[in-house]
Amino acid sequence: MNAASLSQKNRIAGGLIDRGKPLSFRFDGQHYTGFSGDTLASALLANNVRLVGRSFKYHRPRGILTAGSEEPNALVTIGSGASEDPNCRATTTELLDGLKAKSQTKVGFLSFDLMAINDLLSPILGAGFYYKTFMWPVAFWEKLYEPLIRKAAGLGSLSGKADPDRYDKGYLHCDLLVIGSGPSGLMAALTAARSGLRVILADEDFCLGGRLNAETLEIDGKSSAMFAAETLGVLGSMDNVRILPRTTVFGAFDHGCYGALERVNEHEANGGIRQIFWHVRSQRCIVAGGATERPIAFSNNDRPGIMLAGAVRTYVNRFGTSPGKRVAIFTNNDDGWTTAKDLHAAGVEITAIIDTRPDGQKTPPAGALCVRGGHVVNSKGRLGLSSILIDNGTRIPADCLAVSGGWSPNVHLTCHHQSKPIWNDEIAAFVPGRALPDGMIVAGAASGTMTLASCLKDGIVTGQRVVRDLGGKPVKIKAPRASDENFAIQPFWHVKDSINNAFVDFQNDVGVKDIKLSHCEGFRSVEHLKRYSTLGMATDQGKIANIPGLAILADISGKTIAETGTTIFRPPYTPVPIAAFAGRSRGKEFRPTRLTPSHQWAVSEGAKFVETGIWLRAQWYPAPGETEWRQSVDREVTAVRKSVGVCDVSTLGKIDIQGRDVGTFLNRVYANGFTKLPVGKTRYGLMLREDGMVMDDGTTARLDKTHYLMTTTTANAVAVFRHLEFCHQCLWPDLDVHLISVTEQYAQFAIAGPNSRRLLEKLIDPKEDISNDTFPFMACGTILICGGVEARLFRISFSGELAFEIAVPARYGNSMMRALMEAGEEFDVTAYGTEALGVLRIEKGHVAGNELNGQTTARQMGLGRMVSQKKDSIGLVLSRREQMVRDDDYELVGLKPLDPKVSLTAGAHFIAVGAATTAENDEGWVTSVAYSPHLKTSIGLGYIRRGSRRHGDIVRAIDLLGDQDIKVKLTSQHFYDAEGTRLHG
Amino acid sequence: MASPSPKQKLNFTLTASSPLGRHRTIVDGASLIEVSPRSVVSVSPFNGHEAEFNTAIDNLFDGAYPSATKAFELTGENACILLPSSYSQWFLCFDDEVPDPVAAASDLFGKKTSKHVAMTDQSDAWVILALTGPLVYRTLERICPIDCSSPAMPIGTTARTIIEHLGTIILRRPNDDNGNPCFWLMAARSSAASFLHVVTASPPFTLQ
Repeated sequence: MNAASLSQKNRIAGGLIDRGKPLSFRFDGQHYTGFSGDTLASALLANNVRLVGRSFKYHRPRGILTAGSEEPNALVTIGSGASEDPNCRATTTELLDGLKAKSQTKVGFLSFDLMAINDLLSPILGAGFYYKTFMWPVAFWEKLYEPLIRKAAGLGSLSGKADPDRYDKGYLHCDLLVIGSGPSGLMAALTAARSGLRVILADEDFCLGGRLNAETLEIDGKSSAMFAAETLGVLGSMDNVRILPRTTVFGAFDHGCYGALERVNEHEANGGIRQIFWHVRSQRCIVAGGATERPIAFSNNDRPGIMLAGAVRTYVNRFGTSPGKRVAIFTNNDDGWTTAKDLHAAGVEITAIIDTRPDGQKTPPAGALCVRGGHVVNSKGRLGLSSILIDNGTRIPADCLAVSGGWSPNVHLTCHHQSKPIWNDEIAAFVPGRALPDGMIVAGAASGTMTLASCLKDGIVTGQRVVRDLGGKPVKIKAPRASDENFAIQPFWHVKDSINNAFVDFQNDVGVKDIKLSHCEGFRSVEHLKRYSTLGMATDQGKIANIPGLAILADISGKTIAETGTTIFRPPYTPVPIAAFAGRSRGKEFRPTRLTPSHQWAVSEGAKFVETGIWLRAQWYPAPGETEWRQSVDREVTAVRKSVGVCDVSTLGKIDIQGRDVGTFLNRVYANGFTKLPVGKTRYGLMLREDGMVMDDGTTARLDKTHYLMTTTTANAVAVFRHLEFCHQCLWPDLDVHLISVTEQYAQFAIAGPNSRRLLEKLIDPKEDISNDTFPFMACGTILICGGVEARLFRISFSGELAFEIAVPARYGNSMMRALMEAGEEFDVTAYGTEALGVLRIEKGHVAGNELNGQTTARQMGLGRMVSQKKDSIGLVLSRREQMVRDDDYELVGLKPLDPKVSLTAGAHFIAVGAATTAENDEGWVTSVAYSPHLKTSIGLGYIRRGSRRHGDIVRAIDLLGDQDIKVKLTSQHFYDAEGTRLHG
Repeated sequence: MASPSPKQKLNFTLTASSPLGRHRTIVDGASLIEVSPRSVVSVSPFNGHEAEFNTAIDNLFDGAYPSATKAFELTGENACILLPSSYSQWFLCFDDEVPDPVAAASDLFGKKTSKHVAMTDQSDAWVILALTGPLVYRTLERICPIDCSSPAMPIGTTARTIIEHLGTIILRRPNDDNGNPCFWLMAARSSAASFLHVVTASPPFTLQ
């Protein structure tokens, strides 16, 4: 025995731990050692640490109850600082060197918790106490009572700092997902894999094998643990098998999709991914999740040292740890006797076996008191068990009590699609219902097959069934030699005379008296019991407490358990961090970024960028000496008006439409007519939704007889494409129309200003003629530029100036921008960003996203006459609705502040001068504002009732958020060149 | 302000740039290389001309019939790949850049067929990354929701899917000289940098 073992008082021989790898860890600041292969719980028990936490409500001393993910007591906080991880189950926390853990739910020391006074008050703090007590005064609930209760309540807390760990998500696909690596899971996986199926075997443990590692059973003449290891070795060597240890399948979702959480580098500070959230798509799933042992309720059945019998065997057989020096056993089934056999073989003293069944043939180990037909009624020991009291008045010394109330199949996952489990009298437990999720089959103990040989065989048979289901030919596998253990049980849920502190749900501090109280108060349905008492709530999800709780309810209400039924099991089976769901999609990686073709050039020019959707666009380009954004934007706007500016407008949606019926198609999707659009011309189009509201606007150019190019707004590019596809595929599949997005294909630049033509003429092929006569306003065509690159040119203008938009293949986008800037040097060409673009269009009175917000009509925008009444189009009928054509409807106007030094605010509401600032007096709102260098004042657009007839009126623009109340004058929306002479120049 | 002459000698030329500057990342178990630029044309037969189009495909691609998940490859002078991209639409990916992709596609199908086929140049719309190596499945399982394993996606199979919000075309290419699997991942050009990050933030390019 090495030094590390010597320091661990309860460490005994055997087990699957690696004694050659001692590990150092801390619990509540105290230094301990364990071994590789330990869990935190087994290492604490090895070091004789029995008190590990306080209970949720009464702050009662609590110890380790189980050896798995069903653990309700040993919830600890792992790590420190930002990485602090609360509510970790010590029973599933893999021991690592340097691990730091601390207990929770305490005020002061774990051994002297000031909140333990709650335990003294427990007679008056029963279920429903809050609802009845904190009723008055009402205002105190949120301000006083609830904060106090929350502070007093248990469980750990988050660090409040950003989680520094890395997470990821992923997608796995297989023919068969096997959940659980016990005897059934292993045999099912082996059968399916050898038959050629792609198999994933997932288990929440870091050491696979399930109960095979916890028992001293024999399979094919060797230990069950060795059989598990060898079988896993075979599976691991097969290319069609993926083994996922440390992976909890936490939910069964639709269409064969299962959620699984893999703990890859849990609590390890190595920079790797901490957890991966897997979406597992499987044609079939075998749930082989085993069964969970149940406690028996009696007074003070929660003292540290009182554990489930199967867990005691696990610690002895798998971890080489005895949970106590003197162990008593309390059972209602043969499993308790198996515990006695294993403990005796391991040299652990057994002080007594109390079997609730009056008859029995089994012989107790030498020196152990055997009580048949008796039961434990109480326990003693302040911070840990020292003795138990049995119903005949005998007090028996024990520092550990192994309790077995029978086993419940883990039906959790089988219920995620609302399947109701069915009561099975033979094993006194619920088994999976008949209406399982599609493709799911249950095997082994999870289906109620509770003995080893049967589980092994069940695994093989189930695996073969899946192979056949999927059209394969199953291989014949001989069931390994094993025996079936005794599994006789006589239900015994609670000791009737011991009610106080007789706990059923340890995690939520729900006892027998709470269930009785619930029934007394009229909460008699099992679902009502759950809500009233919190039985089986939250992370526990009824793993341990559910069956005993409802059995007690059934007993009280005089019903059978089958009649009483169960609550609904919901995902997740065990808690899943929100961070795991998010995976890598955090911070800047929350969504992708789209860059314009000239992005690199804009970066080199020091542009300031703005996110527009997921696009990153140049907002303005600061010039040397400019310190305020307005300086840059004013300069850019002025440059466009005076000479020429260039803006990357590649973000606009571009849809290539070809076919013989495109004209008809456009005529139907646009409110205005398109059938007569000639080749070489572009037309502004207004697109309505089915409900008559404006969906989007843009231009469509006819490039050839059967070839058109539609542009959309940046924001609606995807929505419009989707809409067109819907129209094409669902509404008018007979039309010969072919759609494809070319948004990514072309870099497009607006060249705007009186010198725009001159600038372009320096770049285009000398043979090309873009004079006003040959290439007038709204013309389009293909030209050669820069020595032979084919480009598309459009004579359109968003700024109101003489302007063109030129599109080149995106590969030339960056270079094109440089060429435009170099060619335009003699005109003092200026690159302008989205801010200047906005100012220019507001000056011109063009609508954009703020005005096209999905709640406005063509009529409101002053474009009512564009909605052709001579043809049918999407939205036409509903645009004629009474409320859509009312005389006092909102209409688009321009506005200026009476005081030119005042800046307008978008979102401000119009209220008449002298009227009260109330919602009833609200007449409209400001949509867009900008400072106009041309007019040297703030200007805006907005909707106001009867706006077109109110030019010249003065109203107030009120921004309650910005505390602004100013007078504005309503005008035409066209602040600049209302006649349109400049863009025709 | 000087008055420019429209007839002055042109001295401006445009330089092409690839979406990711010919990116290459090679680590143990996998490589991620931006595929050299190539011409891509979408083709979609006009209504009523589908049979004619299918016959042309059959003739060109040695008896192949347009399929929703299968790509076909032509070797030799007109080396190209035809892969399904949408309902009644395919992408013709040439092995190299051609001066006029639509004209090249028209030539391939022949004048008679081509006049009844909608063709659109898509050469600049996509970034193509070749993901190759024994550990490519470790990469794909982190980012790709569809099953890319050999049984589900043998060589020549193609699918459209979403990778981290980005529309993606996946094409299983022939194995490399060492027998390692190779996939082409095609995503939109404008989000090429984000797409590259998505892939390289996965194993084996990033620590597990």
